[in-house]
Amino acid sequence: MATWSWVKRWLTTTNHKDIGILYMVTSIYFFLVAGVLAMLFRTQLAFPDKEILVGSEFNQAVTIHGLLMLLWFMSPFEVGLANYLIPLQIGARDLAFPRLNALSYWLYLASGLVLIAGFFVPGGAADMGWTLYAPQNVLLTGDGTILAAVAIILITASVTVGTVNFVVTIAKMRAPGMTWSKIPMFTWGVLFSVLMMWLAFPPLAVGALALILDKMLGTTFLTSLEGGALLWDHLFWFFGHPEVYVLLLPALGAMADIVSVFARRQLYARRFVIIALFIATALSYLVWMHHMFITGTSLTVRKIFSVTTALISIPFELATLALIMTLYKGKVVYRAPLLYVIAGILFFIIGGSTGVFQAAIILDRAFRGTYWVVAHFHYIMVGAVLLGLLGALYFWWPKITGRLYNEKLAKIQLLLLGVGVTATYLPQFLLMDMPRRYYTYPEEWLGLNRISTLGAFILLAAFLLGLYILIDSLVRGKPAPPNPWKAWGLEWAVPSPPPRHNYDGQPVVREDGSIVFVPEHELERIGVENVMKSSGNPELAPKGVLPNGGAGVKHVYHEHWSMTPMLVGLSTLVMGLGLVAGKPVLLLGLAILAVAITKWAIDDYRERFHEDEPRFREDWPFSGTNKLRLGMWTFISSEVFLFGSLISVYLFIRSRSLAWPPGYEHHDPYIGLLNTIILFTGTLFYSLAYLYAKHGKMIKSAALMLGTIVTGGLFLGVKAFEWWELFAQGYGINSNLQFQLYFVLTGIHALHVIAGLIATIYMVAKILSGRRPSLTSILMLGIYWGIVEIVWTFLFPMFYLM
Amino acid sequence: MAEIVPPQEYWWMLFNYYLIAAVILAGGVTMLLVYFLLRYKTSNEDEYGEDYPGPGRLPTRYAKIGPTRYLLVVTGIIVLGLTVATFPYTEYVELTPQTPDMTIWVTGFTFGWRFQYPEELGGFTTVNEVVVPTNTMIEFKVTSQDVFHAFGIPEFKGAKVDAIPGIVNSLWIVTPDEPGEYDIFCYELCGVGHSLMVAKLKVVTPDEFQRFLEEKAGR
Amino acid sequence: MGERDALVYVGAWGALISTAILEVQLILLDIVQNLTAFLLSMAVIQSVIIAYAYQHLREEKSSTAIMPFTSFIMLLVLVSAAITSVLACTPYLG
Repeated sequence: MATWSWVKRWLTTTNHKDIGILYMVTSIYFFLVAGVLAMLFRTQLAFPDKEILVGSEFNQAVTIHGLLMLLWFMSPFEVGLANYLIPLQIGARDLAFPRLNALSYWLYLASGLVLIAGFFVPGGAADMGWTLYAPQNVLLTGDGTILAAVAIILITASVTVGTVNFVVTIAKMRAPGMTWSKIPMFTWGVLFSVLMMWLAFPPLAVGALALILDKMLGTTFLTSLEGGALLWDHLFWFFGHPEVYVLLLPALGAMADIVSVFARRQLYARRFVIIALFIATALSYLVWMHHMFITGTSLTVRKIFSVTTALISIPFELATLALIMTLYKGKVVYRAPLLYVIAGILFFIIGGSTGVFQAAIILDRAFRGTYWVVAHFHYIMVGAVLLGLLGALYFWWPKITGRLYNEKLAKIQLLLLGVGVTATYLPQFLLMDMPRRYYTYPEEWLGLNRISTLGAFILLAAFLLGLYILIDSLVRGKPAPPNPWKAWGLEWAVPSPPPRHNYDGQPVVREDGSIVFVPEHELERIGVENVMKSSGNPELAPKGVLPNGGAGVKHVYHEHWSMTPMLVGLSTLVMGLGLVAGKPVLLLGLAILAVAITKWAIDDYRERFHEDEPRFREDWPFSGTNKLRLGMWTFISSEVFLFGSLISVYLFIRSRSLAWPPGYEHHDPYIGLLNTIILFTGTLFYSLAYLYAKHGKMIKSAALMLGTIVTGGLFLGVKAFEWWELFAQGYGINSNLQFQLYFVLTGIHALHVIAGLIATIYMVAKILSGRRPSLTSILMLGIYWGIVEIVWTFLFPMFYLM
Repeated sequence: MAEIVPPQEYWWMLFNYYLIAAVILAGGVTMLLVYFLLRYKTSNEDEYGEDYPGPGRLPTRYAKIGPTRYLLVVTGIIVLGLTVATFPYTEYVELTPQTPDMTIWVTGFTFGWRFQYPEELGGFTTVNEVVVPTNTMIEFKVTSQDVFHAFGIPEFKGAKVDAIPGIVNSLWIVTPDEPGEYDIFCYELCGVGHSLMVAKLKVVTPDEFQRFLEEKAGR
Repeated sequence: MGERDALVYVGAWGALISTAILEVQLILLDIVQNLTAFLLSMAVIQSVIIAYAYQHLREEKSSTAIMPFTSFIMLLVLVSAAITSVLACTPYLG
């Protein structure tokens, strides 16, 4: 089986189902690594007087356990499920951008490997807790922390690309009749989840960048008193708290669908649940400072965050009540997935209500940093999210693999899990005085810790049993029918596993909720509107319709694949390792990146990559917008947040600095003004180029783009002159904070200018060689130039005038 | 002295209120869940509830939110009410109500705690052990000389603040009437010696405290 | 061909250049009271011009335009909360 073509298929695939499987398998690997680490430190905690895993090694284990479980297991597992299921659930043939989807995956894999590589470098892996608190993350750690920071930046890139993809897919790729009110709760959960990742990750990436710079180039963002601990706290927790809901919402969505199927009811108060989860998504950005209740912040600010934290429990309470009320007057069948979800709800109730305790500042003063917090979030993460996801896996497993599994064993596994979760985490509530991340502790806590460790081993047994169930199903499982659960939904109307192209014919959801698969020519003949109204009206009924996954005609599917996403991922892996391994490796990584980008450009130039565009779709209120433009704006918004975080770092440090001489003492404002004018002029040229292209005058358009290239080059030249002068005066990136910020911010901006120049040069070359780039692609580059310019309108006054 | 309520008394009071509310609410919801599960169980896979879409369909009808909304409002009021009701106590705990009897500076370092006594008591420092008299209101002003630590005395619930370089946070306790020994821990991972960053709070009789001061002054 | 579009582009360019020159002159004359607020609001004005004219936000549907708008609002929340918390804590520098 392991032939070259098999390997090649998985390395180059851009099919959403393949990538979904890759995501899930990879995330389970990271789960196993993180689980082994947990067993190691739980063993140490059962024998606090022995030295099984102490000091830095203990700290490395808890750190990597946390990071892997949250960022490299749970979230990617959900993304994997979403990858596989969302196109099926909404009636699309793939995600909106299949190649970017592959890129997301390869960046994710690279980032995880970079993180784990930390164990093999001098000083070991990151060892300051998954929160990587400053300034110890700079002062007291080895090279592993650099790798952790690189991994964080890479996974930020991965989820940003993924967010763009999922937002555009759900907005623009739904089958006709699949209105917002009809899409399944799992898809809703993923949508809310990616909307949180969208803005939560950029500040974290900025924090990670500051960490790398501090460790490698001698800046002092995280070690100085002006930045330091509080700066990291804000950047980290602005990400960290939404991240909790990022993990929770897809699981909660899947739980809602599963309860609905096995209770044989519709989800209770579905519309209110959706609204509630949307409110929770918005609120999740406004609670982060409850992680900083005792850092010494203004009491008024903390009171506000205390109230928002209490408020956010209400939407989740509604969701929980809705899940329970769905059972009311249902016909509940006790199948394995349902039982997992029920257990998940029970643990969620415990984990959720203990969370309310921590919303009160005075109570939180005692809980902060103790095992009470550990118990609370493990009840949510393991009890609710993991059990909910296992329920989801057992629910959709027959669909994905086409095999049934041993349900009796799955129920036994659930029993083990229930006992394991309770034994592991309930004692930790009672350990509410014990500090987190202590490998040795006073005698009085021994008994409870031993029960907890015993529970962890029960969990281990449960997960091993789970692996056995899955492997057994793959090897010996009976073939699964298309719909083993008598479930509603589009994905259950196609064979298990679904064909490469998902459907024969175009799925249409009629107004009464019934699903039909109509040949495209029939759909054209009758009209989409009429098909939607056709139930109970035989005159309008299309011909050749099959209710079950295949219209009369076979769909002609264009396979698409690409090697470049894997190459980009590989290059980031090599470059990341190169930061620690040395220059040759770093250069090798850059070379691979150059090859990958060139290959991507050639593929684009030769128009080699074809995506299946849906001819019929439901995309209110995004109809009339090109998917590329929606995607670009979603991406640009996260770029805004990236630069915004950098600017807020500047404002933060500045407002805590005692002395800050005005910028014009070091930087000539007239040179800065000159550069501002140059940049504005370049964008004017580009906009005029777009105008010419719009009217078909491509040569004039290319000429104006050349103007942009010249002005961009000029801008970089002036910038280089300024830098050179400063270096000559003895200033550098490790001078005082004012200069550190100057070099880092203008440096990142200059990198963005260079990237824009490369893209513009490619665009001109394409035009001059006789190809006509699409107007949308020209506009998209214009949007990019706009953001480069907007950033400069902030950087210029920040460094030259104030 | 006796009229000052020690912060941990309020802490325990509020904790118990929360616990009662949580047990009643969470317990009620759990019982509802279990009741529905048992009441509506069936083994007939083909029996559908009234609004089940069924295979090959999608949900279209939306159940109204019904009486659940009252439950939601009530619990919402309880949760928010509890949170806001804690604010006066938070202020009491955080804003020292009157001048403390003694202010001790605490500096966290890798890996230990340094205590500096006030000038009028000799201004000496001790490491990993702080001796204080019984029935006294003591303010700790906490900072760190290197990395992020967190100073906490678990026996005195709520007596915990972060020790951050460049920032001074304070907390206060009222020592009990009886002598005793209490653990002080570091609550933020600060490096290889984090687990060993344990100090002792020794509460002694006023006489013994006087002897302790003299012994320190004698050095 | 689109004279009106060309007018928008050139007009925006003129507005950007003149605001940039204006702010430099005002700063160097030292007659601005609240420096940070003044410069940040000038930058916001310039950004709006750029987004409107050069990024063609004016042509987008509101369902698309809400994306960058949301991002901007959230940014204000992050910045203001972080800065407030800084100004309110008890510093002990050195």
